[in-house]
Amino acid sequence: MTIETIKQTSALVVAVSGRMDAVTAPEYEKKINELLDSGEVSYVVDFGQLEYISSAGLRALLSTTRRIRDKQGCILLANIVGNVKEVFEMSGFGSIFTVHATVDQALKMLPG
Amino acid sequence: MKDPGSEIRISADIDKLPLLCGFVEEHSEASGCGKARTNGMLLAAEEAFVNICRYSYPKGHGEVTVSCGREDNFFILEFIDEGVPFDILSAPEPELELDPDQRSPGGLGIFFIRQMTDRLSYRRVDGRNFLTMAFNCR
Repeated sequence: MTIETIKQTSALVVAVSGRMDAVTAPEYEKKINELLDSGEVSYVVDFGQLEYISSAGLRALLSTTRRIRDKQGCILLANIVGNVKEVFEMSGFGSIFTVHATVDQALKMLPG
Repeated sequence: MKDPGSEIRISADIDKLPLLCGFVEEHSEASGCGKARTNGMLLAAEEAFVNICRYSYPKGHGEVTVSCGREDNFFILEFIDEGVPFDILSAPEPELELDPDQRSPGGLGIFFIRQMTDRLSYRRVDGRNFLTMAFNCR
């Protein structure tokens, strides 16, 4: 898994690529926790290059989302495609996240 | 299923997941299963393996044997461990109508295994758990 962050005016774009599984999901949690500790509260997570997600990945996403919301922050997801989309739909997770087709679309939803 | 080339024994340790994925991918592709089917297998395999790592050996270290093979139109993956008895088929369905943070933990992985497999069986023989998953790869 590779995590790339790009600072935009309204949010931090976090691009996750590769696999989000039981081995790599803790890396995602750690990264978001570090960003939260540094004061970042608005996130757009770009899953366009994510090839695979398992229940461990979904759990990491859920627990970090809770922490972000506890800090009155916000997280929007973008670009969920292919296998990852299937797993999202199957699990019912699609309904608790705000999912946008593109990163730009997600960024437009946030106050500038 | 008894071909020694299609069996691995690995430590029931989550860090060993990449070994399992490599094993499944190699054999599934070699037996002609498509990419989409292989992805479903990888998901079911991860969830089964993680379950064994987390719950089979509460008192310490253990191992798991994974074997695979082709039976007619099916690709078969079997997980064998010597841990505490656990029948995945008797686990309750996850409460998908609830928000994920209100559901019981662990249920989602088992749900994925059920969704991804065309046949799923469990048996306990001589102190070992046998979980057999069949994927239709016609």
